[in-house]
Amino acid sequence: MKINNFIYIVLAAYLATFLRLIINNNFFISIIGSFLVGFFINKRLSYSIEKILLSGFFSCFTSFSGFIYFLYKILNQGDWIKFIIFFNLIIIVNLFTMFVGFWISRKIT
Amino acid sequence: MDSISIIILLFGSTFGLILRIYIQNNFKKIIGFDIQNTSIVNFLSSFFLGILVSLNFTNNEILVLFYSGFLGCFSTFSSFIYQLFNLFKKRKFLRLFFHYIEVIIFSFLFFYLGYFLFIFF
Repeated sequence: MKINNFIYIVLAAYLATFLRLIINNNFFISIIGSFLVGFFINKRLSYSIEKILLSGFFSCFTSFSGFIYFLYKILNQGDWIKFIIFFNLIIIVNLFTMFVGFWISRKIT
Repeated sequence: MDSISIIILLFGSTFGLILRIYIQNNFKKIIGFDIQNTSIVNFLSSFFLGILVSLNFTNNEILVLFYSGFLGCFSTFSSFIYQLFNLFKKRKFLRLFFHYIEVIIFSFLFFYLGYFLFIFF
């Protein structure tokens, strides 16, 4: 990997971190991230731009630890049924949103 | 937000980014079984999150910055959804189901491992 590409990845990660702190709502962040990833994987991008977008920007924008912390706070109240419903709902909604983004980008091009 | 917290945030996010890219590129040869590299990153990040929760991190400002800088960049939710989406596109529904169950069980196992590790010692 060239040093120039690496600087772009780090700058994209900084931008993603500040956007995540400004929005500050984990559910919206994961939905926006999944939609845009589904939108961009269908396009023919070059290798370096794909690395910058997928591995730099979107991976820093969405965070798995926020998801686990949200589930932990529900589990701490002792509510097992709510935990199972929320866990399944979040993953299915995100998968569906990524599919919608993929479908829209295929329709446009 | 003052300048010191911004510096901590940027330093943590750089470190998390480099560590994640290193693990995603290099750990395939060492670990033999069928857990993919993105899942390893997510399990490690839930282990760190368990340590932070047992330290009661919402009262401490530096630990909150560590959580949103380092752990936010180290763990990746979109790659996890992208793995599920790839399996869905290839119509491997059984693999999809097992991956789904495996990720949630292992990440909560690692979370409570980190949590009880710091409570007992």
